[in-house]
Amino acid sequence: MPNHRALSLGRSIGAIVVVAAVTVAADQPVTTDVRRFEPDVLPILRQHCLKCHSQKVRKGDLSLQSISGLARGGESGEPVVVPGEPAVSRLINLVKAGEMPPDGARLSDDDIEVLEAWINTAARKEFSTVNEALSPELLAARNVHFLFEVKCQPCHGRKKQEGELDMRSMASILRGGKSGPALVRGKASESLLLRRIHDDQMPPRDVRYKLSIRPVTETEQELIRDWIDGGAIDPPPPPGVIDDEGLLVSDADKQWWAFQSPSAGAIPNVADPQQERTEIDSFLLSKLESQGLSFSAKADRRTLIRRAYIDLLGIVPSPEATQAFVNDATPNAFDRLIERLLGSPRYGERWGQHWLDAAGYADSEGSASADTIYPLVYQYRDYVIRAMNAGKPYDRFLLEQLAGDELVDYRNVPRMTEQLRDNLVATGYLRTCIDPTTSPETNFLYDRYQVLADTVEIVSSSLMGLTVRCARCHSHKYDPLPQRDYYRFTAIFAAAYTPSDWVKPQQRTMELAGVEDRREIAEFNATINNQIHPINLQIAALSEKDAEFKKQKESLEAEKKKLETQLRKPPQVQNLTDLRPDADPFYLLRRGEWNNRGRRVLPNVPTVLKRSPESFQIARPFDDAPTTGSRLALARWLTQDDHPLTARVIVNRVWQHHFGRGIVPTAENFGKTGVAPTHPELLDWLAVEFVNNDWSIKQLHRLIMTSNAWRQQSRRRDAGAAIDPDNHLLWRMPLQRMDAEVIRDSMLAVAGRLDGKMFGSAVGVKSLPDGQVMTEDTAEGNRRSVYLLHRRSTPVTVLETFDAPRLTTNCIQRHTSNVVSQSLLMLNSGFADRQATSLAKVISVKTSDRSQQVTAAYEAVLGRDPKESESELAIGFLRQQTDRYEANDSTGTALVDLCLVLLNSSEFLYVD
Amino acid sequence: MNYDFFNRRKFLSTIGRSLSGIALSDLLSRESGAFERDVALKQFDLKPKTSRFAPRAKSVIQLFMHGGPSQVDLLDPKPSLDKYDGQKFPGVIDVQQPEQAGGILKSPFKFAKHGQSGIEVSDVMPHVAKHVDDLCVIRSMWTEHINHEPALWMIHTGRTIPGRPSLGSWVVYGLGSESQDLPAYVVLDDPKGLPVDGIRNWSSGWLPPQFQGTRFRATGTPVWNLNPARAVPAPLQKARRELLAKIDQAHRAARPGEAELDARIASYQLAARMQVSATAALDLSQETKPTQAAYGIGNETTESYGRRCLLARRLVERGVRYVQLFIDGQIWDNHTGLESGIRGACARTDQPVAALLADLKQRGMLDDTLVIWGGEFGRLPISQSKNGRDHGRQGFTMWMAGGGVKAGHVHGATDEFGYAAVEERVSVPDLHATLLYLLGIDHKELTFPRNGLEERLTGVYEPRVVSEILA
Repeated sequence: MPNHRALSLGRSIGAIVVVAAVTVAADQPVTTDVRRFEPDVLPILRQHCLKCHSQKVRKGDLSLQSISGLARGGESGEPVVVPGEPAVSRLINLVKAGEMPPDGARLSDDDIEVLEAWINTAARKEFSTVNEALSPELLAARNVHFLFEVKCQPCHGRKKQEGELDMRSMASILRGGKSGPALVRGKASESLLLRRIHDDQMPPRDVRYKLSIRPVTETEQELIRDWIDGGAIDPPPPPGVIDDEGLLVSDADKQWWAFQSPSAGAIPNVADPQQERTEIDSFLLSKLESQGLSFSAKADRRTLIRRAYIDLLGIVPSPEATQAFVNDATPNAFDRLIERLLGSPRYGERWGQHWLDAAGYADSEGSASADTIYPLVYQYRDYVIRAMNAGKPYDRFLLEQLAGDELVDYRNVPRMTEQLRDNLVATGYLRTCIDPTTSPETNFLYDRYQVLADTVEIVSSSLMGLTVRCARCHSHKYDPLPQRDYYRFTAIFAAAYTPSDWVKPQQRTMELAGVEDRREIAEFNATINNQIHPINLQIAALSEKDAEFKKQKESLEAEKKKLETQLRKPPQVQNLTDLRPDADPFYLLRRGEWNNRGRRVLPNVPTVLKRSPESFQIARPFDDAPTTGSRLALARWLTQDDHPLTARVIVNRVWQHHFGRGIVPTAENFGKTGVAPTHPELLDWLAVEFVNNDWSIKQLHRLIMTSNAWRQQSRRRDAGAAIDPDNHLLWRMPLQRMDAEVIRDSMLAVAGRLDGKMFGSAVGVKSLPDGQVMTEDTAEGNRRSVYLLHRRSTPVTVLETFDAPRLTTNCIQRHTSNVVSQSLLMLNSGFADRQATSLAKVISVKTSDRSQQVTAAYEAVLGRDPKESESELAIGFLRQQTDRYEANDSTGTALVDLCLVLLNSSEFLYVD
Repeated sequence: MNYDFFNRRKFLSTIGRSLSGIALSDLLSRESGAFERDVALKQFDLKPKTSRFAPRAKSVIQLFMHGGPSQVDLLDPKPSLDKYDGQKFPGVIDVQQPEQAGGILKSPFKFAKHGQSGIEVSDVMPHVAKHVDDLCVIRSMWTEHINHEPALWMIHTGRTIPGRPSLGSWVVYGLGSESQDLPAYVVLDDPKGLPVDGIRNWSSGWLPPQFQGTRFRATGTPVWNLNPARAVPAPLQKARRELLAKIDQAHRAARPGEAELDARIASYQLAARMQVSATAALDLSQETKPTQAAYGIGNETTESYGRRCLLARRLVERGVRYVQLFIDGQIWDNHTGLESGIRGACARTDQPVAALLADLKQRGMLDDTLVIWGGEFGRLPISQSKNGRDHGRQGFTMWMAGGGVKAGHVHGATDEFGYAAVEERVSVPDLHATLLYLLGIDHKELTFPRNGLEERLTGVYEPRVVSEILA
């Protein structure tokens, strides 16, 4: 026979089996001398371990000074000794491996033998006397009840009690259901529960698939049998709350620069005030000067307007706009240009996309091959674009996205106002990660915890510049983020994403309607229903015998259908809100395993970032609120003026989008494994200034773009290249390749085909037979890239080829690749050809003179007149290429080719 | 003046000198931090890299078998299935669709020993059976998930969650390309349609996009946009490129030290070369008639897979590092109609696969080309809907050939019924670590910094290189 015991040791119930095995082993007669904790073991521990692991120091939250400390374990809450089982006791394994003590001094073999002998002898009895240690029997009882929770309670629990059976408590289990008590204590063979399971009646086969429940394995059945035969003892009370705040995070940990509130220091002095236009310049220049460097000369106006358009709007300027700016002799022409761009609706489309990257926005579910499209989520994308255009203060922006549903009692407002709508749509920010739980095949606890983990990752990386993911399984190795802090932070979102009471993604929707709105809709629908009612009667009265029956019925049905289409429904939004005002208890998961619950955690923010206990306070958002208030508390904590990370992180990202690299180059990681800021004082000054300016991102653009630093030329100079070849000090503006969306949108704009329509459902895409994904060549299909369907399984080829992120969670910083598929696409694709053809048509309508055509093409694509040599080259090309077309009997036109070549040129793709 | 962007050491030493007052010392002393810097600079390339230790294989051809080929009907004979046919399976069995599960189901095929090694193969794979002496059959594979997508993510990316880089992406990220005019990682998918989970099968995940698989189509133009959407005669295309080169070179000349612009110009040159070389690689008419016939080209059933197998050899010959073959849908997912399903799948693939092995061997290419055959999991010994088999994750079979693995060797075993791997079990991370090892890479060293973690293909697992199968 196959070894079934070994086989069923999957991830699910492995821990249980080990415990069961322990029970058996511990019952074996032991031959070793009896060793006891106080006289035999404690002296050894005192000599080697207590320096760090005394009750007072408790490094790693572990005290080895008492049995209860050993039983309680360290950070993860796993006991370091398993009585009767030295081989699986961490204490033994670590000392044997020489990993502990860490200073290299090993325990002698004799000492280790004593420890092992103690675990094999007196330990079991000694452990049974402390509260922290659960006897194997109690542990088994807890595991059995966890098994009931996962495999029985979906039908016999909180939501329903099939057959009137409730498996949540011992009392209700013993009371049983319609068929009698579920079990008889001490008599497994007479217990209905076990019989039903054994006969594969429970959990019922059809329900298992639908509710994502695995069958009860033989090992699990054995566990239940042993538990019942052993008297079906009550499970121990649930694990207590971890409340030792601060123990694992020292004051020294809080000293890391990014965990301290930013403070604006003095503006440094510079030697050459000529180069200093703004405070930003002073910070940068002082550092440059210390290296014997200075800014590069100011870029010319053509370069500046192109740079400004691409930075702020994501589209190249029209030749007319360029000409107007170049010729603008009025003072402050540049400042007015910036104002004009900041006021353009195109601004929100460009900067909305940056935010959507960070939020991980996509229009589809993302997991299964079906990759179901979410038809409602575009409202969040539109919300972001509107917020950017309106200059919504960043603190308010975050407040709405994290806890918009907790700001106002939306259920009892008379009307759904614009602001209320924003509030409710905004939590779409928390709905962006891949959520596979629509399919029962991927709706297990494991999958649900993954959704939570991804959401936490998006929040922490986009808002806090922290990478907390590793703390899911163990305390962070570099940053002071204990595992319990990770789960506390996760608990904030677990009131909405509750693994023990899961809501599938498409069911997480809300009506956007006030009381009055709903009443009006109901009244309106009533009048329609009043008209439908008589038709129903008429249909019912028809006789099948009537010759006209079919015709009459069809006509009436059609009439009815017409009326039904008039019925109104309140608009819906796909967003996030808590399930209840009181969240289910949430537990640390040892090693991040869904079936390995540790102690309970309460919602909280990372200890190392907390200025005071009061800075994060959960309170009921408003009277009778349907939510816990934990996300609102998080939002208020994050948007405190002196928060160490919030302002720094967004300021750094805005900087990154202007200069191609953040002041902290690792924009998603401000922790110890991140790269240090090149200009920490500037970062702090900007962060403080940003908060003082009402968290205004537009004001931040003004600060940055009016500096000399932003307005310098991009050419390399030998002096700078020798000292700082990678331009960390910003002695020049870096040359940057356009982003994917900028390339596509600008090509359409140059061709005169970009459609400016804003907002609404995502623009559909189609897959060509060869697998490329593109939009139709229609006005709708030629809208800006931000509006295209962002379906995870069918990324739009032109965007993906130029490094638009493929979102699994989110993207804080894009890569810029340089691959041959880009060149092939730009040269040969139908998309590129269409834009070149369209531009050529526009030009040839205006003029048939080759020289003028060349000038027009240069102006449209590159925003400048050709130099004489360039003009000659291009005219020659037009002439020769026309001849070649004739010679090859081909119908192409040379002007299209010229336009195509210019669209392919480095000068078009790279921004000086 | 030297503007070498790719020299990390030089970069670091220069920065260390120039950024006084900034705590870079620990970055300089910590290799991982130094690498993170390169990532921050977003600079990656496909230049050939030196392996850590001598590689056994230079290239990989992965014959991916979507759906979960049934081990007990192909390469893992179980007489007990005949003996207990129709009886209840003795024990708990993890079934995906329990309501359709029946008793033990014997294989409709007969097994026989083949070659000097005497490895048993069922009669539905007569062609591959002739090459068992070149195969290293692993009968003790197991994986973590019973559903297609998570199991696909596991076998392709090392975890049961979506979005991670594929094995091929990791390999070319680690080793770069040997070819100057072809992509390093080529995917030959089925003209009939995408496999289950589509393009994610070869995604580079969060590795930079240049490491993702490039789809080559076995008919028509092999690469997206290789030729103009609207036909343009070659001399006119050339004239376009020449004009572009002149304009770009003038632009570049005014911007000294911009290596990125050189790379852009080079990428257009590569595009032109690829137009020739990819087309040439695809031109199967250069192969003799007997070779084509051996691969089954000319026979409707085997034509498609045969073309791709032959193309795979031609690509590896031209220096492509990683070639992956896919079949539309999931032909091995035989929930019903097991016998006809497997017969159909073998009819399409058996002869071409055998021809590929023979061809590689005859050309001396099998020594440094690793061929891998297998799917995301296997199937159960019990029936589903009477004449099918449900997914089985606890035990399944894969085989490898060439590239440093033992020939004519069987590793590991499943239990009496072929349900679960019980002897010398090989996990998917074990398999990945072994593949990387054969390519000269230590799986622990092939890392990519992301969100504060040093990510690896083998992730948080601690796999072992399956040394027993190394030649």
